[in-house]
Amino acid sequence: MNRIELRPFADDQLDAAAVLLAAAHETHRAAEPLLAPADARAEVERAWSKDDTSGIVALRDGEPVAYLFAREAESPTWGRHAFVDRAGHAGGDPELVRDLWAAASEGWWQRGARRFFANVPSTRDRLDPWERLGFAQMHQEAIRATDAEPVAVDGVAIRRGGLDDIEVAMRIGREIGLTQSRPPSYHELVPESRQDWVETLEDPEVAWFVAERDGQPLGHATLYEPDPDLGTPSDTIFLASTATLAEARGLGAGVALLTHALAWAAGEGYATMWTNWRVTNLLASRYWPARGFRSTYVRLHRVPGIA
Amino acid sequence: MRGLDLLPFADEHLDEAAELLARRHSRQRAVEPLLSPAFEQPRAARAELEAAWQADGASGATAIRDGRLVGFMVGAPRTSPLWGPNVFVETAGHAAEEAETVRDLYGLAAARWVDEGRTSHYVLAPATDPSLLEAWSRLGFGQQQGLGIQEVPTRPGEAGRVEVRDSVPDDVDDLIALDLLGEHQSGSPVFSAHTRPPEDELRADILEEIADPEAAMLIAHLDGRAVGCATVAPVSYSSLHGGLARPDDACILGYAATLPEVRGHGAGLALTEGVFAWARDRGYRIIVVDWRTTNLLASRFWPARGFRTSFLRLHRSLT
Repeated sequence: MNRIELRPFADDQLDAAAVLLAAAHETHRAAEPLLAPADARAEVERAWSKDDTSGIVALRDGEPVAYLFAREAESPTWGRHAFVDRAGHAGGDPELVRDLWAAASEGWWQRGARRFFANVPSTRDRLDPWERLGFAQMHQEAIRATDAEPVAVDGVAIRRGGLDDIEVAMRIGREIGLTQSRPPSYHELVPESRQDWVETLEDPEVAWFVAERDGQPLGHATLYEPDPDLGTPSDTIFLASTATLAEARGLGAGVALLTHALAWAAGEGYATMWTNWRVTNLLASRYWPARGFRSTYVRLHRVPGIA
Repeated sequence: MRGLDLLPFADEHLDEAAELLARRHSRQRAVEPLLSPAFEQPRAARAELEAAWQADGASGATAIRDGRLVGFMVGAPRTSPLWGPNVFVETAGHAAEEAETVRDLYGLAAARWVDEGRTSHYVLAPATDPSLLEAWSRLGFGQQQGLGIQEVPTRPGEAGRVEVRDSVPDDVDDLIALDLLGEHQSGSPVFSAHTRPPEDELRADILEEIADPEAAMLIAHLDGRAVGCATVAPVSYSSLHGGLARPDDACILGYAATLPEVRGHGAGLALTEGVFAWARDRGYRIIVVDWRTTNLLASRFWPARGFRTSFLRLHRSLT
C-alpha cells in the first residue's frame, strides 16, 4: 500500500478515528436505516478505553485514513483472544483492514491470543477483506421495526411469566443449547444455569413470555434492553433467548410469540427489536430473516489453521 | 428442511450427482473459460466424483426434492499429518442447485465426520460463485488458499536490472537461503504452523528439482547477489490444482520468494517474467499459481500479475 504508514493507535488519534467512524457508520446506515446515528467520538472512546486494548492507525501523507484496535481478554470458552468491536475499526479503503489487522495481530499473537473475533457491518464491501483474512461468519445481528399485529393461533395462549416458570425457561434454554451443539453448529454444550435464569426471571427489566397450549409450554421469548453499542438504537428491545420446543414446531407458536412480543414492545415505546443468531444454526438463520429481521452486523471468527 | 430429503451419499446417486457437477462446472467455465471443458460432460465429471467417492474413508450426503437429486457432498480424509484429523471436499466433491442446500448437506455429512474424530474440514469451492462462498462462510468456513489461473502471456514483459536464469547445482546454498515462504507465513497475518525441514533434506530436494528436465527452478540475481527464486513445472506435478481445477495444457508456478530487503526492486516481476518465458518456450497455453489468501504480499502480487482466482480452499476447525 503506497505511502501508507502504520503506527500504534494512541489517545491522540481518537478525534481522527471518530471522523472515520462517523463516515463509515453513515455509509452503513444508508444500507440499513434502522441503525441509530452515532456519537462517533463517544463510541470510539468507549471501545478504546476498555482494558487491554491495542491497535494500529494507518496514515497517508501524515493523515489518518483508517484504524483498527482490539481488546485482548481471556475466557474459559475462548481462551486468550482478541476482539475488534463495532467501533474498533473504520477507514475509507476496506483493503486497509488487512494491513491494519496484520500489524496489530502480531502483538496479540505474541501475548498468546489464538482466537480472533471482529464485529463487522454486514455489507459485502466490509465483510470481504475480513473473509480474505481467513475470518468466517459466526453470529448474525439483526433488526426490525416493531410494527406488527399480534397473530392469534388457535389453541395457543401467550402470557407473561416469571420466576414461577423457571423450569419451563430452563427446559427451553436447554433445547436451544442442544440444537446449537448439533451439526452444523457444533457449539459447545453448556449446562443451563439455574442462577442465571433466576436472575433473569426476577429482573423487572426483563419481559419473559411463554406460549402454551392447554397449559403445556410450547416456547418462550425473553426481552430486555441491550447494552449500548454503535448502531444500536436507544429505543430498541433485545430479543434474547427465544425458541419453540421441537414438538411444537409447525403449530404457529413461534409466530404467535414473536408478534405478541413485537406488539408488546411497540406498546412500551420500543420502535425496533434487535436479535442475533448463530449463523451455523440452520433453523434460526432461516427463521429470523423470514420474520423480517434484517442483518446489521456479523461477528466474524478466526482460528488460524493447522496447515 | 425446506422440502428436502437428506440422505447419506450412495453409489446410486453418482449419475445424478455427476450431472449436477457438470452443470456447476459449466457455470464456472462461463466465468472462467480456461478451466477444462472436459468436465462439462457428465461422464468426465462422474469419473472425478467417483474417484472422490472411492477414496478411503469417503462419506457424504445428498439432497433430494420431489424425487430429484438437487445437491450432494462427498468428503474423504487426506493422509498427510499436515492437515490434522481432517476431511477434504475436493474439487468434484459438491454441487447444488441452490447454494443454501450446501448448508443442509454439510449438516448431515459433517455429523459422521465429527463422530469419526475428523474436526478439521477443508473444501475446494469455485471462487466464481459468490452465493456458494457465502453459504460456506455461513457454515463457519474461512478462506485459506486461492488458486489462480491465466493465459501464458504471449509477449515478454519489460526486463529490469534483475537477471533471471535456470539454477545449477552450484546455486544450492543460495537457494536454501531463499527458502523463505514457510517462515514468512508463520508470522502475521497467516500464522501458519511451520517446521523448516532439515537442511540436508532441503538440499536433496532442491538438487532433484534442478535436475528435473520437465521443470525449472529459476534464480534471480541483483547486483551479483541471489535475491529470489521461482519454480515452474507441468500442472500434473500439483495435487492442489487437480480434478476440476486442473486446466489442459498448463504449467504451475509452484513457488516464488524474494529477499525482503529487495522488495520493490523488480525481482518478483523478473522471476514471474522468467517463468512466463519458460512456459512460452515449452508451448504451455495456461499457467496456474496459488497463494495463502491471508498472505498479504502474495494475495496482492499474483492478481496484479494477471492471475484470476478459480477456486478457494476453505477451512473450518471444530477444535
